[in-house]
Amino acid sequence: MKEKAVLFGRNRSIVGIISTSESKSNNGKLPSVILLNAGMLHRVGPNRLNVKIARALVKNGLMVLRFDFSGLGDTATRQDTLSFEEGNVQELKDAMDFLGSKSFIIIGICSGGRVAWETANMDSRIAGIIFVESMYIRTFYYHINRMLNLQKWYRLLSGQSYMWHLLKQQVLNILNKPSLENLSASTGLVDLGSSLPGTDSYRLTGKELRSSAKCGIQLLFVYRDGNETRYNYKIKRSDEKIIALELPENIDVEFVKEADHTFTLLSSQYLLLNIIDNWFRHRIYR
Amino acid sequence: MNEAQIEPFYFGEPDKSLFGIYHAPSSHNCRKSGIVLCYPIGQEYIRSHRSFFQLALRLSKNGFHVLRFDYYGTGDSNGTCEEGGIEHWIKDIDAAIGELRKIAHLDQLHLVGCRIGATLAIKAAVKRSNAVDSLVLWSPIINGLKYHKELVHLHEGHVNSYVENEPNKGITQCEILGFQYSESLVKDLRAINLIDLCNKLFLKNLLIIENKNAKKSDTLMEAFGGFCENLEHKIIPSPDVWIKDGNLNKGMVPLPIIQYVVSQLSKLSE
Repeated sequence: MKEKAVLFGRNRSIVGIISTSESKSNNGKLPSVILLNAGMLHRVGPNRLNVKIARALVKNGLMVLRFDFSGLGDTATRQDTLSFEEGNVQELKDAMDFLGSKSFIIIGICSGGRVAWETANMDSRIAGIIFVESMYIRTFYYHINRMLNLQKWYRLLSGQSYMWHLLKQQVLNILNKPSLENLSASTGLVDLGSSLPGTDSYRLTGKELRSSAKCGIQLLFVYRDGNETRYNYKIKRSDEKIIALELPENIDVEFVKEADHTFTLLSSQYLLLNIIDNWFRHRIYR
Repeated sequence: MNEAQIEPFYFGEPDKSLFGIYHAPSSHNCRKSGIVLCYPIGQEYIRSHRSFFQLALRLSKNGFHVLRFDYYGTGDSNGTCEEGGIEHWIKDIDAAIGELRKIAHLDQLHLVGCRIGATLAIKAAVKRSNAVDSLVLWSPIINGLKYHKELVHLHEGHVNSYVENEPNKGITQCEILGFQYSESLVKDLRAINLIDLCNKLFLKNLLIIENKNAKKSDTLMEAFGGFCENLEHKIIPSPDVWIKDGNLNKGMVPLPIIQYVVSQLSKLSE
């Protein structure tokens, strides 16, 4: 395995690491892989997971890039007028341009998955996304669960709900008569500046998923076990394993036992790496 | 080099190469002083990374040549965490000093270390007795046994908060907050006693900074006092950026500490 430090993007300000195999080459037949920042953590990822994932994938001949979005890790903040979210999408496109491959698999832990999804909506080079503890699907059961969630009611009534924040932003924008450019093109949400988006932008609708199936994008969702009710998939338990049912052809869902949001336990990291490896064997190396 | 004047690169032996980032000094006030930054390890490294970026940025704007790097088996450097160890990492600091001297002609060299990085910096300074002018120890680990117990306790509390079926799963002396340490590393960590190192250290300037309700350690001051020309111990109230708190994804940068380090090192290099 060989790793090389690179600078790319506008003003060569984005810092990244390209991992390649010295012994295996896929002659451009396989997509390249890009790993994104998880939340505010730098490109090595929570518990160095991005490094572990990159090095595991390189063994199969893939080229893997991990990099820092502007304002995170080793990359300086952007000096232009793009919002943090718009900047993220632009920089993922910059990363794909820089690598020059025909197609890409994007891996996003937490907020990284949201950036991957938004970029895939406007860039056909993305052939697959692995969401790790990231986007989740809104179903009928999701609304029922929300209605019965006392904590949600408390947050709503005490003014802590993200909805109030959005409402406040909308009112401020109406008062300030914002230009359309200030609105995020993909979600219609108000530009929140450098703050991370709220949980609402991590939801996918069935329509969006069907649309991804039409485009042939392969999607893998990985969640921690024990938190499955939050995601509201139709599931069954078999030998203590959770299995997601009735999924569209292009979608896989896996649950990792005894994991937390950042896969602190080494045993959960091992399971996550296995799930990713199996998915590549099943969906990509075919 | 880019507009921000930083250059990421790998250095050292090919199969054990280390990832480093060189921050070039701003052209208008370039000094012949270099600074090697020594990170903490494990979860503390992950959480303090952006603080080191900010520190390096400010130091380079004040005219210093700065190199920060990942020890072997950490961050973007080669190797796995289990392969890392105290002696290896001291050699890595030595290699980083050599690398910075290759990049820039330096009259002065300073080391800044945080947590276990501070301990490693002292050990590296002992090894290169005449090569290091100043040491900045940011919340150094004084007692390794206590430090290791604290980490294991944090790990235990965190894991038991979400693993319900198997109490104490993944609770060992070597699995700590997402990272696997080797038994020899744990043994070496537990053996750390900063006071024992002081009589091996001879340098001009030593600055100790602590940031949370720390009492000025008279023992530490007395111990180091005889071996340094200038010794200062400063308490700056600021959050412990390396400790996991409820704000999981918040990247905290303790600016008062960073500003103080920059101003002190600038004075020492005038």
